[in-house]
Amino acid sequence: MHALVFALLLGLALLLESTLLQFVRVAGVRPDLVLVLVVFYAIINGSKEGAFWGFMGGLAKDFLSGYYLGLNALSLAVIGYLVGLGHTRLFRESHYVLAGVTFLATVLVEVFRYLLILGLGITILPGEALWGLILPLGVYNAGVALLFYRPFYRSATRGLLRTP
Amino acid sequence: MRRLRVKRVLAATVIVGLLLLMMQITGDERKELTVLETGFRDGVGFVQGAVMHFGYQLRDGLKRVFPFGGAGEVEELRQLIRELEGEIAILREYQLENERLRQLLDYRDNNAGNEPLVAHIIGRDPGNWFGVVKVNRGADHGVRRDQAVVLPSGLVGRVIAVTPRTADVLLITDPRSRVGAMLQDCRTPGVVRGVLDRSRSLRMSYLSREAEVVRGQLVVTSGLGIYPKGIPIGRVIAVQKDAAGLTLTADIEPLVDFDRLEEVLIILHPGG
Repeated sequence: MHALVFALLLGLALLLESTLLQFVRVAGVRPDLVLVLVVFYAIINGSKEGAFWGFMGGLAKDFLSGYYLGLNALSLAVIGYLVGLGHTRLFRESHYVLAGVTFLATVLVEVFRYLLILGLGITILPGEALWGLILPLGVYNAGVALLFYRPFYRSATRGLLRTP
Repeated sequence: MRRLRVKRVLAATVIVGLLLLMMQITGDERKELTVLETGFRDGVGFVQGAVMHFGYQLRDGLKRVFPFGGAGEVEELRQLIRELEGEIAILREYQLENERLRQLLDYRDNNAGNEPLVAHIIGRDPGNWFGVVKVNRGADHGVRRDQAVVLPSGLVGRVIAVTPRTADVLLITDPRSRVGAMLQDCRTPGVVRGVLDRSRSLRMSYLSREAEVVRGQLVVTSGLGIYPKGIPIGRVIAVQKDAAGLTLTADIEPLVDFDRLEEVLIILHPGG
């Protein structure tokens, strides 16, 4: 049941990212809801689950985008795995901790994507990538995490997202 | 235990290798999409169109004046003011839409030879790295790859993928975009490319260092490449020498507001 609910959440996040989130651009960036959800899921359920759902969410995003299939699947699987390592080490009840983790995860995953994009032959200057996208997106995603982690955590411990 | 670990590492390596291969062969320079992708995009495009329509309505509704508290006759008058303000906001919205569509029609009439086709934006690339929008016109309406996409105010981008009922447009602000351009006054040529930094959005490179480049100069397409000649792109906001000092580079502010795109014109037959 919780897997179906989480898959639906990822689907909704993707639909929002490709439509309505353009109305809430700040400093030229939209929040990466799929990444935020993968970070939430990984910190609560661990590395394996984090990597799996990161891969699935990323693959769906790749299909919706239609270009460079695998770019998001690979980067979100890696970040899901890395964040999941903090499953037993971090104080995951605190939404402040999660905001910090989300910021770091965003910076890491975007640096990883940037390197993949460079590898694909697309030239973007490092300064442009850092100031124009990576840091603003990190701050934005951290803000989103601050707002939504509590209800997610409640659902993951006592509600529909609780693992059996 | 060790054997299991080796198997896992091998499986992960194969998956990563396959993903890297997929990335290479599914870039934006593909000539055609697969049947699976075409069906998926048309299906999703329908849902995205409906959600975007809802989004535009919601945004317009939020622009109206919010109510204040009160009592008796004063409250009735306030209520009346609120209703009238709401109606004015709706009429203003119709007026703006009317003006926008009239501009598109004027442009279409003045450029009838180009056969511009009006298309609505129904979706955007879900990520932040690339600037791609999806429109509700496709191969069934005569849209083909590499057709230029414009607005009366200036250049928007080019078509990079087509399904029967939708098309993907690569915006000129995308880092992958390259446009053959020139400064309108002095006809100095250069190449305009997209920049991730939203404070400038476009950059014009390879300008001759002898050229007189000043703030406010208009940049238009040069006609070299797939874009028709003379389409406005933007205005120069800053100029600097490149690292080697051999050429000049100018930051360009685009004439099109890419955050508020709702309709665009696809040029079906340039110069036709």
